[in-house]
Amino acid sequence: MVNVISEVSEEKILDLINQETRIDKRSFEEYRDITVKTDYISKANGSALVSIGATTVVAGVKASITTPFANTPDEGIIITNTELLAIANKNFEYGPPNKFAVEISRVVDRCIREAPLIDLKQLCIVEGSTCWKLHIDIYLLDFDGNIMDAAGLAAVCALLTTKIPTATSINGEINIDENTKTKLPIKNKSILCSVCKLFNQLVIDPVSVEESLMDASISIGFREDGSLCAIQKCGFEPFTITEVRNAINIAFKKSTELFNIIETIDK
Amino acid sequence: MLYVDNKEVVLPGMLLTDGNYKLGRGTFKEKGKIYSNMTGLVYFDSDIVSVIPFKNAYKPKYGDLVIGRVTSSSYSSWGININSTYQGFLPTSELYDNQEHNISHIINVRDMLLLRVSNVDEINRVKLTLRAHGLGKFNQGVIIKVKQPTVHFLSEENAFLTTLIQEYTQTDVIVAKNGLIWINGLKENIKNIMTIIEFIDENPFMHNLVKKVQSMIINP
Amino acid sequence: MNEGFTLKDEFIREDGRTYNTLRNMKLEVGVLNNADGSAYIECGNNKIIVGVYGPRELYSKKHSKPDGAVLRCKYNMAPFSVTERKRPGPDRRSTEISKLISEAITPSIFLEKFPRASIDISIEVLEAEGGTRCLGIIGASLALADAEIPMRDLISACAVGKVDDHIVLDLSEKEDKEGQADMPVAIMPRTREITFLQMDGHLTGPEFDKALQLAFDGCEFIYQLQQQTLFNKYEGGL
Repeated sequence: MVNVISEVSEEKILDLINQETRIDKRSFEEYRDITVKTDYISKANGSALVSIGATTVVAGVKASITTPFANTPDEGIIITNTELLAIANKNFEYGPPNKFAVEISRVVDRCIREAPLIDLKQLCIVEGSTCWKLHIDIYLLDFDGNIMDAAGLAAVCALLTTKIPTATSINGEINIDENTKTKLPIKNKSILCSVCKLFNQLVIDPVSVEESLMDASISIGFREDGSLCAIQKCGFEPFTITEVRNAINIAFKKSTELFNIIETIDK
Repeated sequence: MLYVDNKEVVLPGMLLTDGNYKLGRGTFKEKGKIYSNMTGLVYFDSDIVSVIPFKNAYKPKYGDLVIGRVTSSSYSSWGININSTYQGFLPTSELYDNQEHNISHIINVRDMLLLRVSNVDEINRVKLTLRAHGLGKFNQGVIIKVKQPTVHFLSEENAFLTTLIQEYTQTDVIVAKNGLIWINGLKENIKNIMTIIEFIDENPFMHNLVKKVQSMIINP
Repeated sequence: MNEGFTLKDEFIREDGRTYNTLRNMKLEVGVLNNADGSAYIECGNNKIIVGVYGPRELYSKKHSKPDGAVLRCKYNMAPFSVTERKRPGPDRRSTEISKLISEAITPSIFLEKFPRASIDISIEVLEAEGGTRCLGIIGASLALADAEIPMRDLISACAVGKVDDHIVLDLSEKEDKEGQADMPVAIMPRTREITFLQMDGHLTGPEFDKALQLAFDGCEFIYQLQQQTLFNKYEGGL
C-alpha cells in the first residue's frame, strides 16, 4: 500500500529544511534519544537492545565451536546476519534477507571486522582444527529510519558484553568450561555513523519519512582514535567531494557521542 | 439490563446488555445478549447500542466525502488509495469531458482528488464519483492525516467548528470522512490550523474540548 | 492466585513455585509504532513481541477470498533465543506452530467482515524458555484487540503438564523437557470453548481431567491480566 501522505510531506520537509529545522524539531546534526540495554537476552552469549527514537533493534551473539576456514587456519570466525522483521513495517515481508538487509549485515560486519573490534587470532583454540564462531544476529523490531546506525551500535554493544566459555585443548581434546566465562578479546572499539543527503542538506539520523525522501546516504565506520574503518554510500544520487568531506566531519563529531554511550555500558 | 456504563471503555467479548437494543457498529448478538466486538467506547442511544473504536481505519459508506490519491490507471478505471482497508476505483466513464481522447491529460497517477463514494458492494469494492458540485483535483494546499475520532469531532459532533476555523483564519478547510483534511490559505494560518487539529487528534475525548478549541481559534 | 481452587497439593517445584503458580508475567500493548496493533510479553525469561498488520486488501486473486479475510500467522524464533543457535528462517516446528496459532485464533475473529483482505500476525520469539506457543496466542489476541479488529472474545492460553507425577501449571523449560507430559491449551473464556489443545507425554484419564481443569483456571487468570492490560492503555488517555 502506498503512503497517501508522503507526497504532501515532501513539501513540508523541504520547507522545514529551509528554516533549518526538521519534522521532529531536531537540528540537522542531532541524534534522537538513544537507549541501550545490554544483557537483554539471557540465553545469548551477549546481547543488546538499542533504540534510536522509535527504531528498535536487538542484537544477539551466539558462540559455538567449529573448524576455522582453510585460508585463515589461526583465526576465529564472525558471521553477521540482519533480519528486517515483518512486524517492523508494513512493507517488510517474511523470507530470506533482501538486498537492504544484506547490505546492513555486510556494512556492520565490515565495521567490526576491519577495526578490528575483536582479536580473531585469540578466538582460535587449536590452529587448523578448532576455533570459536560468533554469530551476530541483528533483529529490527520497529522501524523509523536509520537502521544502519542502530544495527551497528547494537552489534558493537552486544559484542562488548559477550562472555564466552573458556576452551582449552589438552592433548588434542577440547575441554570447554561453561562455568568460567571470559569477555571477548577486544582490540579496537568501532562504531557506525550515517549521514544522509536530504534536499542537498546533510543531516544525520533520518526518520522514516525523511529516509523515503532522501537523495543518498553515506555510512562511516570509525575506530575510537577517529580513524576510518568502513565507508558505504547508499542511494541513487551522487555526492560531491566537499559533501563527502563534510559528511565525514559531521559523522566524526557524532561518533564521539556514540562512543560515550558505549563507555557507559562497558564498565 | 445494562452491564456497563455509557461511554465506558469496553473490550472484545464484553457483555453490554441483554435489553432490547438495536445493534450499532462494533457489537454482535449471541443467545439474546449483546456483546462488544472491539476495543472502544460504548454508547447507549435511545434504542441503539454501539462501540466507537479509538483509532479504527476508515470504512467507506455510500455518500461519504473522501480525499484520495490516484495510484494506478487502466483503460476502464483509476485505482485510488482512500486511506482505508480497501482501494477505491473511479470509472473513466465518470469524466465529464468524454471528447478527450487522451485521458491522462485530465487525471494522472499521484494526483490528489476530492471524491464521493457512490457505491460499496457486498465484497467491499468501493466505487467513487467525481460527478457533483465541488469535487475534483487539488492543485494547492496541504493535506494532513488524522484519526477517526477527530473526523467524528470536526464533521459530525461539532461541524460549526470547521466553519469557525474558516471564518477566523480565512482559509479553506475540507474535512474528508477518510481521515484526511485539506487546508489552503496563507502559510501562518495553515500552521495555526495544523496546531489546533493536532491538539484535537491527541486528545479526542478530552473534557470540554469544544470550548478549548474555540478559544484556540479565536486567540491563536 | 486461585485461592478458591479445591485441589490440595503441597508439591513444591524446582523453581520454588507451587503446582498452580504462573511465572511472573508482564503484558504490554501498543509497543510498536508502525504496526496496527502490537503486544509484548515477558513471562519468566520468555520475551515475545507480536505485531498485527491489517486488515489490508490482498491484491493477488490467488490468495484472497471473496467471503472473508485471510488470516496469515507467522511464528518465528530469533537465532539467539535458544541455547543452541537456531538457523534463521522457517523450519518444520515453526511452520506447525504458525498453523496451530492461526487456528486457535480464527474462531474469535469476525473474518467475514473483511472480504478480499488479509490480516497478518507476526509472532517473534526473542527469548524462549518454555511455553512460547501459549504466550504467542496470548500476545496475538492482545495485538488483535489493540488493532481494533472485530472479535468475539480474547483468546487466553496456558500450558499444564505432569512433573514428578504431579499436575502443574505453566511449565518452565526444564519441566517441559524432563516432565512426563506437556499440554498447552487455549480457550475462549467467555464461552469456555477450547480453540487449541495439544498433548505429548503420558496422562491417565483422571489426570487429564485434572490438568484440563487447572488449565482453565490458569487461562481465566491470564484472561483477567489481558483485560487489565488493555484497560490500562486507554485509562491514561481519557
